[in-house]
Order: sequence, then structure tokens, then C-alpha cells
Amino acid sequence: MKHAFFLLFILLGVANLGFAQVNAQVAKAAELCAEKKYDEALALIEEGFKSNDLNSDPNAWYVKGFILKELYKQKEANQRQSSYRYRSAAALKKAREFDANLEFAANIDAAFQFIAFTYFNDALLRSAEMDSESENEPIDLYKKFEELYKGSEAELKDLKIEFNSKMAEGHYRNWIKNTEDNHHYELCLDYYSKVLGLDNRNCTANLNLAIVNYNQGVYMIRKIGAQTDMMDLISIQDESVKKFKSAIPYAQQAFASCTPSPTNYKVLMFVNRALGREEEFLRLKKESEKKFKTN
Amino acid sequence: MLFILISSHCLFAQQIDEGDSRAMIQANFIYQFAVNSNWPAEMKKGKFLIVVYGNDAVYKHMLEKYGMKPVGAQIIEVVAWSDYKPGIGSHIFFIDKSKKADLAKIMKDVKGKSTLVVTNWEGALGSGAAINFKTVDNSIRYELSEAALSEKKITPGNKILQWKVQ
Repeated sequence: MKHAFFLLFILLGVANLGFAQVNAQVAKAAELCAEKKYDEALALIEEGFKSNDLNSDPNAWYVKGFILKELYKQKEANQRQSSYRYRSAAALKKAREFDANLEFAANIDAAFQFIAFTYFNDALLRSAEMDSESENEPIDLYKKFEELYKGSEAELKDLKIEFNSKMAEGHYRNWIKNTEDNHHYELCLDYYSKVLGLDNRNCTANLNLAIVNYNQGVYMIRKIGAQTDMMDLISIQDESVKKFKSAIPYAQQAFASCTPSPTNYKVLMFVNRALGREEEFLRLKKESEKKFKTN
Repeated sequence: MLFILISSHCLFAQQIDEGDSRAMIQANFIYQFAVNSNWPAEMKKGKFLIVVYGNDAVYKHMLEKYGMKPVGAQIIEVVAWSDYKPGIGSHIFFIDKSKKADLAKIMKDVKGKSTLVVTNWEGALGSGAAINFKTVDNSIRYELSEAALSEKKITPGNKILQWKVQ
């Protein structure tokens, strides 16, 4: 009950307005919200917009945005194309537009952040299941997130890193289904490079760029067989060496700047072995065995 | 009131391919030596025997990719040795550098036999090997002793001669 009254106060902007005049239908809609009767609240406030001059009332837009947000949570939280969410963001934009004195700014921002992060989460979820047909969908969802996001630049940078990392992972997953097709391979490298553009010491990106380049080289060699001509063997090998050489700076950076782990060792070891640097491979192998000795 | 549902900052590493690419390439080169060289008539009977001594990765790739493949009318049989046994009678005998100490006795064992001895360490040609793998600009190449091959009565094909390095 206490919570319901608090919500009502917040919704009506009472705390900020000091009991300024609130439209009766908006007030009633807010009361219905406090009782979680969102469908009724929506019908009422839409009626209010039709019969009253509420178009420039930031509180009315905020309450409408809030109701739509709650309806999204209640009914369409798993729908990427949710119209409640879309309309909530539109109403909140209007609220912000007319809130010249920033009386509702804190509440509007909080609602916006919620909506923004639902787009962000959807972008990540979509990246985990995307294929060639749907590879742009996470990008569209992420763009919506960025449009609505009002947090700090530092946090946004972390979120960009996370989104780009997930996109790289998604493209990697698609690439390994068919390593003959370089489309996803190139995009995977591209997204990890974006991560490094934001944070050049990023462990995940450095390590994975080393692995992806290295694996590409090994996959080329795995295709060699009895049907391979001597000349093809030489040229395939030279191409794979280029990939191993591309992998080495990332493997070294991951090794230098990340917490020592068996994986970091393994990646640097294997890349060195593939380049014929056997002494270095054996040195790292010995060091790794000593460091991560299991009893 | 931020709800980051699946956001996480843990380190996600792709799976690295643990296959030994150097071994895969050496295995293919050995196969190329087999199919692009000519052995004397008395060696063209029965199975085409390849012994891999001291390198399990090369053996596994040979077996997986080239075992049972034909060399002329013969079928390749790949055998792994972890310890030296006298009485080598194979067409190709690959000795890994981990077993380089055994080269002298192996050369004595294959004297007068048409066994192509392949090695993978610096200076092995000087000790009697006919073909030796070496690393050139991070790639595997091979050097070859025509005199050693001639002594074994094995004739390398043009492709083998064409890609040898000095």
C-alpha cells in the first residue's frame, strides 16, 4: 500500500510540482497504475489526450509512457517488435520535449533507461541466435538502445565493447559452421577490431583475434589431403603462415596484459609452433606446466 | 533501475584448434614424396610401407589422411615406431628430431636398401638422410640429396626436384 501511494506521487510528479494542478484523467490513470490496472489506465489516458489539451503536458506524456512501459513488461517483454515498447519510448520523448523546467527529468530518464536497456538486452540475445539472414537485426536493436540511452560515456563505452564482442562471437559461431565462407570470418575480425578500437588491451578481443586468425590458418591446412598437388600444398601453407603471423601480435598482447591462464599460454604456444618456433613453443609449454601444475 | 539481463564481463575464449599444423604438412609432404618418386621394381610388390619414428602427430595424420591410399599398384600402410627396432624394410622411413641420436644406426640398417630416409633437423642430410625438412620464412620446405637418392635407386619426380630448397 505504501508502495502504491509512492508510485502515485511519483507518477503525478507531486514531489516535484508541489501539488500543482494535475489533469483529472491523468490523475485517475496514475491511480489505476498504482493498482496495476494498466489496460484501464491506458484507455483512460488516451481518452484524456483526445478530449483535453494534453499534447504539451509533460506529466501526461510521462504517465502515458510509464503505462506503456508497464504493459510492455507485462505482455510483450519477449517480443522484439513490441509496439508497447515503441510507443512508450515515443511518449517519453514527448515528455522530455515538453519538460522544459526538468520537473520530471529524473523519472523520465529512469523510464528511458529501462526501455533503452531492454533494447540492449534484445540486441545481445539476437546476436546469440543470428544467422546470415538476420545479422543486421542486433545492430538495429543496438541503435535503438543508443538513441535512448542517457547514461555516462564511460558506461556506454563498456556497453559498446560488450555488444561488439557478442557480435564477434555470433559471427564466429556462424563462420565455423562453414569455414569455406569468409563473410562471417571477416565480420568476426571486424567486430573484435572495433572492441580493440575502444580498448586496445581488451583481453577477450586480443585472445579471440589470435584464436580466430590461428584457427583460420589451421583450417586451411586441414583441407590438405591426398588430392592436393605439391604446388597447392606450398601455396596453402604460405597463406596459412600469413594467418599465423596475423595471430601472433594479438596472442602476445593477450599474454602480456591479461591474467595468466592456461588458455593464454596455449594460444601463444600453438601460434609459435605453427610458425616453426619450436624452442619458444617448448619454453612456454614447460612454463605453463609448471605454473598450472595440477595435483 | 537498470536491468542488464544477460550482460556479463567474463572472458569468453573461442575454442582453439589443437591440431599440429606442422605435423599435417609434414605428413602431406611425405605422401607427395611417395607418389611423386619411383622405386626400383623389386620394391613395387606388396604394401607401400611408411614408418614414422618418434612423432605421433605425423603418424596420426599420415594414417588418417593417407593410410590405404594407392601409390601406383600398391597401398600405403603407415606404421608408428616409438623405439628403434633393427631390420627396417620400409619404402619411407621418417625420423623425428626427437630420435636424431638413432640416425647413425638407422643409416647402417638401411644401407643397400631402397628406403627413403626423411628427417626434420638441421644437418641431417650430411649424416645420410635423403630428404630433410627445414623451416624457411616460417613455412616447411625440404632439402634433398640427389646423391643419397641415387644410391638408394630412388628416382625423385620433377615435382619433388622443382620444390626442393638449397
